[in-house]
Amino acid sequence: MFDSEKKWLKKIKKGDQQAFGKLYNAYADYALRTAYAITRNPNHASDIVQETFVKVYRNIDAFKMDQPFKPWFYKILLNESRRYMKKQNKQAIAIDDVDVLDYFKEQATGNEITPNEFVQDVLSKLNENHRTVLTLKYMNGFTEQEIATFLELNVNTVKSRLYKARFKFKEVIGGEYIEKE
Amino acid sequence: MRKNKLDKEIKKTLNKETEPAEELKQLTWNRIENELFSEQIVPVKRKAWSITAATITAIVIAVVWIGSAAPQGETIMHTLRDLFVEEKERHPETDPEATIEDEQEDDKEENERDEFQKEIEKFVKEKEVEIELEGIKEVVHTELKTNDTLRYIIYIDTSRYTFEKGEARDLIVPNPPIGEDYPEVAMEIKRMELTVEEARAEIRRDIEDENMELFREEQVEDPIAGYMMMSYGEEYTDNLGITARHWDTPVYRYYIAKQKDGDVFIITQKSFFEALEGHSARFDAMLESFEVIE
Repeated sequence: MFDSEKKWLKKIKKGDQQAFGKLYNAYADYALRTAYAITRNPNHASDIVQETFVKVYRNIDAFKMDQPFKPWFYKILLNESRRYMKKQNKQAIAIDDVDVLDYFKEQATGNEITPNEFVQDVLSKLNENHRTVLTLKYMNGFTEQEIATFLELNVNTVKSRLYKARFKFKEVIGGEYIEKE
Repeated sequence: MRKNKLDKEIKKTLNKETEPAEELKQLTWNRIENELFSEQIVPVKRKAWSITAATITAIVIAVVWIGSAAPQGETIMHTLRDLFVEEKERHPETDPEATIEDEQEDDKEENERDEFQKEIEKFVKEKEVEIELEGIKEVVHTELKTNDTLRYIIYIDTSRYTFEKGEARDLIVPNPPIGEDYPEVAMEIKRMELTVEEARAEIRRDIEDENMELFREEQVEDPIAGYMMMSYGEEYTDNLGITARHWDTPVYRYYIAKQKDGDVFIITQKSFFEALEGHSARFDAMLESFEVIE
């Protein structure tokens, strides 16, 4: 753990809001990226990250200072992502989502696939488990062992999921995207 | 496509297309701050769109994310400085008391590790243990494994399992690994600053997240004294059209052991129906050697 991070965490345990703001600034970017890649919806990603940081603040006493913060944080983030996805799957499409989808449609020009839509298309071909490991490895730079730790999985399970996810990704970008370049 | 090229392409594509703008971070922060500190912080003037209805927020977020037209706003740190100026005055970075406290904590941690090392020297490194599986007794060779952070020891059957030591928790997994066609098999050991009730609530949430059903919970004395919770995976319909729990239905068993300092150890055994008499029984046998070093 970085010294600055350790200091922030100690201060947050004492109720220091400024330290909490610094921690947010350090982690928000990749937390949002990760939640977005898993959910494929910016509004949902924002909700998940909000709930994650609220839980971090409210449960900071449960965090032990002699342990690394990053796995603890990502465990909460991934749990919140799963919980949110599960909740969303049970609900009909909400009004907010319809508005977002309509907006994307309006922004699209002709039949050309925008990069953002393209990635959504790739990700939609993977299941949630595969999307999650792919995101943690390639966007966050975690090792397979670290991912296994976050997800409480055997490292071989993570390797297998990564292999399948990479294969799926390759099927799409190898056949379409790379050739366009 | 070669592996390295593919890896680079995946990374580039994901990084490029998931880049959130400052406005999105600010929007999310505003909502966090509103939920946590709305009664504690002096209100500051905000942009009108940051507090509009959810529908408009969703559209703004979409605009920000795809980077089509949204202007760059203030940086988040600038806003945070404004928000927390009073807090900063009360908690300066160079707080001498905080520095002394840090040093004292470091010394304490070092002493505790030294004491732990002395304690574990009292245990033999290897030993033979007799266990009973499905009524048949067998002797297994076990090796001492320790964790000076979580402060415990356990003897592991290293001919069948690998001890993966982590910083936050340890994992005991089959060696060689079981195939991908089988549900996960593992025993996890972690220590948390929770009460037993909080740990039970946490486990209930885990069970719900895993789409499992709490089957039984009770106080137990074996393999360790504590509270046990057991959950099963959901029923599903197999190739023969039978809807039930089948041989590969996951079974998770949790043990919560309260410690003198108020912490709890949470031991999670992940297995499946067919492996209950095998891996689960072996996990329990190893867990009997579990000992906390205070």
